[in-house]
Amino acid sequence: MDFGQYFTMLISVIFINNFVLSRFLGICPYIGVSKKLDSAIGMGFAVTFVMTVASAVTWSVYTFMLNPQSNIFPKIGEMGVDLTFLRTIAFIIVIASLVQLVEIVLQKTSPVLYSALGIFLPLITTNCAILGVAVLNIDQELTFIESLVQGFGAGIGFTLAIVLMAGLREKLEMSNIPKPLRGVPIAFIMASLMSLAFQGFSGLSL
Amino acid sequence: MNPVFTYTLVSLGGVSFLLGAVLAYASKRFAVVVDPKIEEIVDSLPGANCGGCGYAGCAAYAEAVVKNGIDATLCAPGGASVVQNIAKILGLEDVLTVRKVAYLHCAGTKEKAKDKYEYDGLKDCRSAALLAGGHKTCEYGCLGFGSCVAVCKFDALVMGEDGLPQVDMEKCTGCGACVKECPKKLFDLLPDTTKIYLACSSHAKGKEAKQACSVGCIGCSICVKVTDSEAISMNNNLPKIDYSASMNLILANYKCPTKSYLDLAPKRPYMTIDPNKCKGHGKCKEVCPVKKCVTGEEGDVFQINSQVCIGCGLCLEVCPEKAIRVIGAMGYVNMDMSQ
Repeated sequence: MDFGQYFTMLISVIFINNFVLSRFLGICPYIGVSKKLDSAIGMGFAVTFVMTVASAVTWSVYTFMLNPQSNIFPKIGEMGVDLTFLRTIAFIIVIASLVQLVEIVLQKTSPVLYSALGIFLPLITTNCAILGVAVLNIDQELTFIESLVQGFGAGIGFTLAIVLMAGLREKLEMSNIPKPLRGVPIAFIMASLMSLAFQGFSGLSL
Repeated sequence: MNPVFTYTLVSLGGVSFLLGAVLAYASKRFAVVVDPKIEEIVDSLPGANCGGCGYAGCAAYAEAVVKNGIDATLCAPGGASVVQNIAKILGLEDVLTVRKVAYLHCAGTKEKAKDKYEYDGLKDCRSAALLAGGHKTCEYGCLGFGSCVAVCKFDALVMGEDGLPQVDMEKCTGCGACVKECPKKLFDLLPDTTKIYLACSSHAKGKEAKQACSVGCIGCSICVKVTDSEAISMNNNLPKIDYSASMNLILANYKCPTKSYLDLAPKRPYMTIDPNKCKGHGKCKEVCPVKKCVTGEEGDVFQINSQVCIGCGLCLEVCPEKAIRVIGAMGYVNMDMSQ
């Protein structure tokens, strides 16, 4: 796979298969943290970071620990023991502790980055979007580099969606909305319209 | 044993153990020194995270108190004991606080306040208030659906059978949730030493107020005149009272023609005249606002009828012989009666 293909994959996961707007993963932070542009950007970068790291780690865990074909103990494969059913729980444990670790280290080494990302990190540890990208990497039988690209791209896609949403919602604060629709209801309506708009990218031929 | 079982146990257990060990090491190696005062204050706060102080939670408030020197008296649910603990932790002098609780400024029960139409919608004050200001003729009064009761986290509000919420002064923490919730803005946080308060919020003119509710304030301003204090003044047909100021509202309560004031004291003290000291100047009879309270003729020994005495204490100040004593004044009144 050359660079062009990675680029295609990146564009695909950002626009065509956007995690929030096409796969409907990570809706919770998407609606919850999109009230202010600042916190939306913070959240977006935190998700991008965690997704990239989680892609790398879960790919390794799956390939070397659970998959019988490429296990670091070849004996497991020979004995016919298939541990792939442990995928979800193993991923959750690994991602959660990884994020925790990053948070601890960040707090000590980079207080500035911690105050920007720190409060969002525990919120997204085992968010469905994070777990989703890890599981999709395995389902699509991607290589390590491809997984990284997909994880990073998914994070950028999430950031794009949440930042756009936050920008719109800040405008909405000023506008005259019927009372019953104020707040989350209008946010849902807007999210669905954005999703419709993003469906337009599915015609993009790469 | 089934090899799948064994390998599951070994692999997942191993990974979990490894990750746990790494986390444990990291939390020691990268431990961040937090001001121990913050933790102490967090421990002494109630931990309800009610947000009454205006911060995101108890921890955020504790941090603000230590780092930014924010006022240590903002925790209403914690009350005076918490404030004193915080002050101790910070090494400050004791900060005296007045415990504040919610007071309902409306006495319009189902019987007293008339309805202008029959409301058959959602049993919620805010939705009821949307329909022409509510079903009560008085547009300022309590609608009685208990939105305040629903929002109270401390069980301090109960819906009375008379259609008005009742505040449990012991349970109320003064968090102010009901103050925000009430669409008519009928609640107010006042020092819990407040015994007499105005139980009406109607800015309606006399006639209207009278037609709407039998205990509604008609804006006659008698209470303002008799109280003679800067803390009470008329504001758009309703007395505006600064309850934090020290004043004597007993007379206002007594003189109010519509009984718009409420007195929470179970019993008021009363005055008596020492017959041995009384020289019969009669000053007490001149100032007494109550009919048939002080009896006697000038030059004679005067007497006070304990049954009708309202305990306003006006006579105490004017008696030249200091012959008047207070019976049963056990902290019910804000004024100084020790003379």
